[in-house]
Amino acid sequence: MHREQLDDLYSQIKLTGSKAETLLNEWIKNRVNKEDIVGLLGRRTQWYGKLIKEIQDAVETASVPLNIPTKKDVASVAKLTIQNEDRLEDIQQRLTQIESTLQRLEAAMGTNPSSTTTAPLQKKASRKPLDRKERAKLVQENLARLSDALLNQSKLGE
Amino acid sequence: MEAERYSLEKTRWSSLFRAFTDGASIAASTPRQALWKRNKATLWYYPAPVKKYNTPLYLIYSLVNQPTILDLLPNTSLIGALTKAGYEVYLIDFGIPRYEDRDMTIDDYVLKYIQPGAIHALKHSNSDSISVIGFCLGGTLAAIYAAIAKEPIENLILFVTPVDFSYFPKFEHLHQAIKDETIDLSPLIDGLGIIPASFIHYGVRLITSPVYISPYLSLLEKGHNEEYAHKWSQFNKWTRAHIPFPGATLKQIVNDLIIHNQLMTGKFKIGGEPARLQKISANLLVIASTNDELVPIEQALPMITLSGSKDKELIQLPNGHTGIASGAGLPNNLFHWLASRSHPVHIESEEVI
Repeated sequence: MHREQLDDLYSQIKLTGSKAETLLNEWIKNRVNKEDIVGLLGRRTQWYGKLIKEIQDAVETASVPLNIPTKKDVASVAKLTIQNEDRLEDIQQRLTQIESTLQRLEAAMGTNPSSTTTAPLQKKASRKPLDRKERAKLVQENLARLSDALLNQSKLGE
Repeated sequence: MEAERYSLEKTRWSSLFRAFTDGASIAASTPRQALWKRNKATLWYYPAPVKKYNTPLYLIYSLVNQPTILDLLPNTSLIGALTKAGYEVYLIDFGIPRYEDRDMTIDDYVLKYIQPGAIHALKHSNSDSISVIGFCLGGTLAAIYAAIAKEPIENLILFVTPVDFSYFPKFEHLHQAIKDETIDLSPLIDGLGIIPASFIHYGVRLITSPVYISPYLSLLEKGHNEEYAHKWSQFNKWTRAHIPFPGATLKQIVNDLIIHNQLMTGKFKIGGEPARLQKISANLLVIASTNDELVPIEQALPMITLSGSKDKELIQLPNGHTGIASGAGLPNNLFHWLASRSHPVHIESEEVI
């Protein structure tokens, strides 16, 4: 068979296959979009929902004497981690808001922000009392570290 | 001549064989950096090689599949095209939900991920405003977010985004049964908790193409071209990579959006506050596809009349549902529209001087 003939064959297969696909898809969609099929689907959905619930209840009951965790147990632990992460995120957001408010206040009062940019550890060493912005920054840094540590823990757990 | 023919046929048939056996994951093709993480979500930052605009782009992808389609291949990457055009791009990737995320609602997506992600993007880019781009259901989320946002949204671009859920042309009986609650999906959704990825996959297939052979026939026809085969393979992997769907979000979509069509009636609420699309004041661009079976154009068009934006435009394209998101055939007028409504870098630098 020549090259052109072979290429034509593949093109013909594609064309015929695509036409058949379109016809079949239309037929399936029309067949599914019938009141009797929809009614059957409705009844099956109810039945399947009840079946899943009963199986899950049975597994929950069996998990007590078997002393094994269920999917819900594992998910509730994961959910606790997510809730903690949400709380940390809220705290971080509030701290960011406080930080920006302080910056705006500083700018309005005309203080030099660069005078407060010394590293927190150096401040500690000199035993100088920290101002509000530095305290907020320190708390935020520590919270970020805690958040990272918690995330790493949860990743290790997974 | 015969040897060349043999080589072509070998490439063709091995491409087809690999289509059924290759299971490697899709890697991002544009350089990126993770900026913020929460639960399974990640805010990705794609720097522009040469930054030309100060208004960054914030991308929100759909919930039924992974956003890898936006950055599939270097030469047909939507994100790559946007960064090359000089935009800083941020993408909120919701990750893959698991059973513990079954109670996540649209409110959670908007208030816990989309809004904080936008705040982080604004802060990171040091910009005064942001352009939000939503795709499919991610576009619906983007529109809802834009309706309640306190952040300065300059532009809102919605790709194949459903807002009017009263129109399901091919499945009107099923749609009517859900609307009049002849079919109650709640027991099934509650039982499953999280809708498995396979359910989503076959659901999408049923709506679009239950029999799916033409892409394989295209591969058979053009598979001797290695570049085409690679592109086909990456796209095919993405089409099969649906993700699980949180049950609470699905229930909210069914009850609030499909049964009560609350986005159209203006009664949809986020965190107890009304999210009326009329409140959107950002410049709006709606991109809809005339050959989209998943989101028919009739579901997307009402956004133009509903939105409160003064500057709004519609682009209709003959693509299918994913043609634009994959970066193939990006309309030039999209770039013109966006460029004329974004703050260019050089103007600002001139002001500084």
